[in-house]
Amino acid sequence: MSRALEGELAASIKSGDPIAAYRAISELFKPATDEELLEFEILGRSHPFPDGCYVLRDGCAAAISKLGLVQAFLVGRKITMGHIEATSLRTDDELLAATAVMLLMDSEHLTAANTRKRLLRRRISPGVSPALHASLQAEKHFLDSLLTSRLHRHTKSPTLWAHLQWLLSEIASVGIPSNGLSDLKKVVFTAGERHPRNYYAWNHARFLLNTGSLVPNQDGLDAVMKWCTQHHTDTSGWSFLYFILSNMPSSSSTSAHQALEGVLGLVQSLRLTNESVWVFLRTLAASPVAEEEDYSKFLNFSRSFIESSKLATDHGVLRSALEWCETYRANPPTDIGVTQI
Amino acid sequence: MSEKAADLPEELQLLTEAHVKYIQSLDTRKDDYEYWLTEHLRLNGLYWGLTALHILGDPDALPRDETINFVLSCQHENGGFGAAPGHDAHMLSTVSAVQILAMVDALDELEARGKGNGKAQVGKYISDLQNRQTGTFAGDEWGEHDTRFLYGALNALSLLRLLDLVDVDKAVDHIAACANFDGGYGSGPGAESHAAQIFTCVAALSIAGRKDLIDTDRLGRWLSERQVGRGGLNGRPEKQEDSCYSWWVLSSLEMIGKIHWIDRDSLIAFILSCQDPQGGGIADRPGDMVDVWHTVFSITGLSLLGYPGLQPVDEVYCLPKSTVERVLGW
Repeated sequence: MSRALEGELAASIKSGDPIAAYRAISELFKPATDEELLEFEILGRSHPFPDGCYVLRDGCAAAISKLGLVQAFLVGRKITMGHIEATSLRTDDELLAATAVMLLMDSEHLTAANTRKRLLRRRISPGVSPALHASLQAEKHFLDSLLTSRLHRHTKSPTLWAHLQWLLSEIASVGIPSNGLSDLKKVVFTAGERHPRNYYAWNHARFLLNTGSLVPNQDGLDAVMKWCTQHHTDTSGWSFLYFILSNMPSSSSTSAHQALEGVLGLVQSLRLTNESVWVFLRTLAASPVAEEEDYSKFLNFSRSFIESSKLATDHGVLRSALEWCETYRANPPTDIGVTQI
Repeated sequence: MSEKAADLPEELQLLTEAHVKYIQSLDTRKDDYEYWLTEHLRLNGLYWGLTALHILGDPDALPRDETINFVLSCQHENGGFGAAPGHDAHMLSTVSAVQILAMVDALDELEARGKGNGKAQVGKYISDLQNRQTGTFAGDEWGEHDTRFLYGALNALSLLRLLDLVDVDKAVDHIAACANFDGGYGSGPGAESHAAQIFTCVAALSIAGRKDLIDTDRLGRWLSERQVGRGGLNGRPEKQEDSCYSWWVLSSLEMIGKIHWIDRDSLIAFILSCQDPQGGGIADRPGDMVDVWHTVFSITGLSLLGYPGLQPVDEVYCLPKSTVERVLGW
C-alpha cells in the first residue's frame, strides 16, 4: 500500500465520520484472549467498504479500509500529541488504543512507538504480577501481528523491530522466559517471506542469537537451512545461514560441511545459478568456517558445474564466485569481524 | 568533464527546474492529509530536500528564516531534535538538524536561540548516546544500536567541532568489528552486508581518519557487483536496481578511490530515466512514484559522477562541498 493518497481518496477523507472509523479500528487492538496472531490487511479504492463500515473481521483476519484508517490515524494522532503536549491528558488505555491505530497506519511513527514504551516502562517493577505479564504478552502479540501481516512497510520496519527488541529485553529482565526458535519460525520466517530480503527481520534473528534466546544448535540450523532452500533467491536468508554457521560451537565442525553438502546438492538438482546462492557458497567456502577439504570440494564442484552450464549469462556469476573464492581463501583479512560467541 | 548539460540528448537531461518546483511544493500542503502522514520524518525530509536544492544550484529555493525557525522548533530541552515539533528526540533527526543549519550557515543560531548551552547542548545529547564500553551509539534512550547512528554522531559532532566529546577510538573499534568476510559492513557486528550500512561505516572511518582499516579491494568488489542490468545499482545481491543506491554505493566507492569500478554512462542513463518529467522529482525505478529521498540521492549520485551543472557533493558528509569547507574551515 502506498502511503500517498490518490486525489479522490484525499477528497473523501474530508467527508465521513473519523470518530466512528477510529472506534471501529481501535476495537481490533483490545486485548485478545486468543494466542493466534492477527492478520491485518489494508484495502484501498479497489475494495470499497459499505458506508459506515471500516473493518471486516473473519476470525483472526482483519481487513481495514484505507480511507477509514487514514481518518482514524488523524484522530489517534490528535489524542497522542495532545497528551504529549499536556494539553489534554489521557488514560493508559486511551493512549494504547491511539498509538496502536497510528502504528497500523504508519509503522515508522517513532513517537507513537515510544509512547507505548513509556506506558509499559512505568508498569515494570521487580516481581512479575499477572497484570504485568499480560501487558507484556499483549504488546508482543501486537508487534508480532504487525510484523507478520501482509503490510508492505510493517514487515520490514526498523521502528517496529527495534521496539520488539526493547520489549524482549524487558521481558527477559523480569525473568519471563522466551523461545527464540519459536520466534524465529513464527515471526522472522513469516516476515522474511512476506517481504523478501527483509534486512531488519534477519537482523532480529541475529538479536535472538546474540541475546541467547536462540541457541545455535542443530534444530536452529536445520530450520534456517530449510527456509533458505525454499527461498533460494533470498540473500538475507543465506546471510543468516552463514552467520549461524559461524556461531555454531566449535565441537560441531561438521555443520559447515553438512551445510555445504546440502546446498551443493540443491544447486546440482535445481541447476541454480542465481547470485544469492553463489555469493553464500563462495563466502562460506573461502572463510575459516570451512575446512580445507570443503573448500576444495566447492572448487571442483564449481568448475564442473560451469563446464556443464550452457548459458553464457550464468557464467558471469559462477566464474566470479570461483575466482572470488580462490582469491580470498588465499588472502584472509587480518582482522575478521565475524562474531564468535 | 567537458560536456555541457544543454548539449546532452533529451533522455540524458536532468530536469532541474522541475525538481526544484517539486521540492518546493512538499511543504506547501499543510492542509493535505499526506502532510500529517509524513510528519514522523519531516526534519529528515527537509534535509533531503535542501541538500538536493543546493546540489542543483538553487540553495535559496526554500526560505532561510522559515527553515531555521522550523529546525529550532523541533528541539527538546536536552538538546536533541525530533522529526517535527512535539515528536520525540532521536539521533537521526538531530543529525538532520545540524546538517540543515550547516547548509544555511546558521549553526550559530544554536548559541543565540538553541536550548541549553547552544552547540554544546546538542553535543551532549549526541555524546550521551555513546556506549563507552563498546563504542557504539544508540538512536535514543530506548537503546537501538545501528552503525547509522554512529556515523550520524561523528558527522554532526565534527560539524559542531565537538568530536572530542566522544571516544572516537572505541567507535572505530566497533566499526572494525562490523567488517564482514564478504568485504561489506552491516548495521552491527555479523550483520548482513548492505550498501547503505557500508556507507555509514566507511564514512565514519573517513571522519575518524582510519580508512586504513578497510580492505578496499574486497569492499570495492562487493560494491562494484551492485551494478546490474540497465546500469542501475542495487544494495545487495539479487535485489532490483534502485536510484538511491547511486549515492550509497558511489560515495563508498569514492571514499576508497574506486568509483571507476562502476560504469558511469549506463548509471547516469538509468538515474535520469527515473525522473518524472511532469511533476518533477525522481523515483526508485522508471515509472514509479517519486519521493524526496530518491530525489536527493539520485542528484548527489549524479554529482559524484560529474554530471554537468551540479554543485560538488562531499562524499563523506552528503552535504555540498562548499558547506563542509566553510564549516570545517578548510
